[in-house]
Amino acid sequence: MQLSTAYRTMLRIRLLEEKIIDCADRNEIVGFIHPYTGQEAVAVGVLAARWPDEWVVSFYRCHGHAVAAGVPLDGIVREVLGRAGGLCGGKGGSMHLADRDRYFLGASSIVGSQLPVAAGVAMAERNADAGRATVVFCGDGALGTGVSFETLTIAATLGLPLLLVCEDNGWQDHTRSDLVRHRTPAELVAGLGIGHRTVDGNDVEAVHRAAGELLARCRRDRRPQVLVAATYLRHYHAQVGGARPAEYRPAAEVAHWAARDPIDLAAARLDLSTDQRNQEHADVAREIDEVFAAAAAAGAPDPATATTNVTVTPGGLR
Amino acid sequence: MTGRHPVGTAVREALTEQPDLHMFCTYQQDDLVGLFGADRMVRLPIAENAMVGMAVGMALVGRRVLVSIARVAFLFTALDPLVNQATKWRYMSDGQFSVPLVIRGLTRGDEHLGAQHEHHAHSMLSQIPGLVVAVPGSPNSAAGLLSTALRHPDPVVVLESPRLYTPDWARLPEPEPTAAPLPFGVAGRALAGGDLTLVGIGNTVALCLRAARRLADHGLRCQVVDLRTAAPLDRDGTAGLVAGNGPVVLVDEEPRTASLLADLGLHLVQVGAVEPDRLAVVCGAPVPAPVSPALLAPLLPTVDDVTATALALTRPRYATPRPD
Ligand SMILES: Cc1ncc(C[n+]2csc(CCOP(=O)(O)OP(=O)(O)O)c2C)c(N)n1
Repeated sequence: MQLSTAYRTMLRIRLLEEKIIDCADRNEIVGFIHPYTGQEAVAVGVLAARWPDEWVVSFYRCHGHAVAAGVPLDGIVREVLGRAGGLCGGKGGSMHLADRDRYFLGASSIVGSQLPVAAGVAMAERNADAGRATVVFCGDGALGTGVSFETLTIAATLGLPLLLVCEDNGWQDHTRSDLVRHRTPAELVAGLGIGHRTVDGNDVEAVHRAAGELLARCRRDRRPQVLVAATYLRHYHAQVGGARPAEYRPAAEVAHWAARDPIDLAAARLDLSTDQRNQEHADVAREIDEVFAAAAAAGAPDPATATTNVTVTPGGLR
Repeated sequence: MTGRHPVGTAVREALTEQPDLHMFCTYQQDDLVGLFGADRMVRLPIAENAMVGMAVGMALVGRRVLVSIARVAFLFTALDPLVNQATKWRYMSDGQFSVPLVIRGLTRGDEHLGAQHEHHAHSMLSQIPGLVVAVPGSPNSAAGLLSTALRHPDPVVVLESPRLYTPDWARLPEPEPTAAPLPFGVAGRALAGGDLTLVGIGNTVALCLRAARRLADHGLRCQVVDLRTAAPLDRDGTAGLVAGNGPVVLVDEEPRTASLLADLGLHLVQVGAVEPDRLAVVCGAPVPAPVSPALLAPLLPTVDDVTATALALTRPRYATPRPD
């Protein structure tokens, strides 16, 4: 992974998300958005380590995963805005991006449900014997679900080449994780006897190195592995409608993480000057503005497509 | 009706009145914790299956639990404790045990959250023997039905449309004058009128009220019936209300093949409350909820659909022969 490329991808995610938040503030977005700002290094570091034909399974906070997986911005933005030409035809929206061409299997908005799905993919991949692993992302709150433990137990027993990436941002919606969980994600996984690493999720190079090692183990040993990435959301859990949620986290905690922004960290390591950073920023902002302008001009999807891709009960629609 | 939402008042009243009532949720309301303490307001991880199962256990030994499941979509991850446990123990034990459990969850309505989050579930859940399925059509009926649920001896699911909690909830069409407890299995008259009857459940009650206003411009006085609970479904009460009251339009957002209302229509015909050719059913399409509003619009019944159907039914039955 080239750090300069990773930096550029993180910046694309950041500016994409900030623009989406602006649109949400103006009530131009339908439904929920769950911004990925602050966690960019996780998606970018991990997915730079996957083979391009390894499946990625995501969850509702999926815009950043999609960009890092190589999904074109145009399809993402149109989907999030509910416009014609969206990645999923306007049916999926912000929480359910999917792009078969990029082996981006999709994003589920039911917490935890993506884990067994990914294990099924990993099993199919194991049986195909091509040495490929499967990557699945989840939040730390997802480890409260029973199905996550069922999945990890099965994956360990059957020897599935599954990399679970747990993005530990310390919160599950407005609830602090340590109020509802007595062990860290790593401790929980260790108790299951599953190989794992905890990493600074805001350091894209550290994430990349750890993901590379764990993916190699998944492929070689056919065993599940867990990467716990400690990170934080810059903005908030989710927004629906025009009003941003009020801050629900301690100011000191927010400030602590703001000072450890993954993009700033990468810029410092690249030794970028302010001018260089401004130039990068301007280039990416221009690209994103163009994508949004095209999406805004696109109009709504054709209502006739509302009933495609579903088996409709015989006897007609209504 | 302004100020605090009537449902919040109903919950606080029940918690005050019943010291054995607990609440389970993933997201705690600080004001309730302050009032009732953390032993009764229990914050749990995202673990709906365990949450509902534990609520069954508490209920079996004499406590009562209100589970705030947030969205009905998440209840689907907890169907085993609901279907195999909560609704079966009183029967299986021949009355030795009962499970007074209430689950509140949001269904769908104008939120555009997509196929995994937006569900109507009243017909599906009404197939589970032993379960009461309440489907309020207004903020006051949500409070009234929840109050009854919190004193009911058996499991109840209250299916609430997010529409009932929009910032302008106080200005919604409000057929229930007060938040007083409402009995299960008793349909209510949301509007009186003698020319025809529109029957709705949940979201479609407001839809019927809007259609009734439109039909008034055509000189038709509509009666609107709110079914209130999908199980028990008030077949005979509805028959009584519609008999001799002109044509009947049954309106449901669920697909026709799953709709309880289609079955209700058959009952109304069988008992002679309406003639077969004076009855129509308007339903939603058997298609998951898309996110883009342009795609959603053609899938749900509209005021236009209901109005047009009603007008077609009220046309003279036989065309008068044309004078030569
Ligand atoms: C089964 C289920 N229960 C509840 C929810 C509502 N919900 C959506 S996101 C969320 C918090 C999840 O937190 P975490 O897994 O830590 O991920 P994060 O959002 O922090 O990235 C909750 C409770 C849901 N979508 N699915």
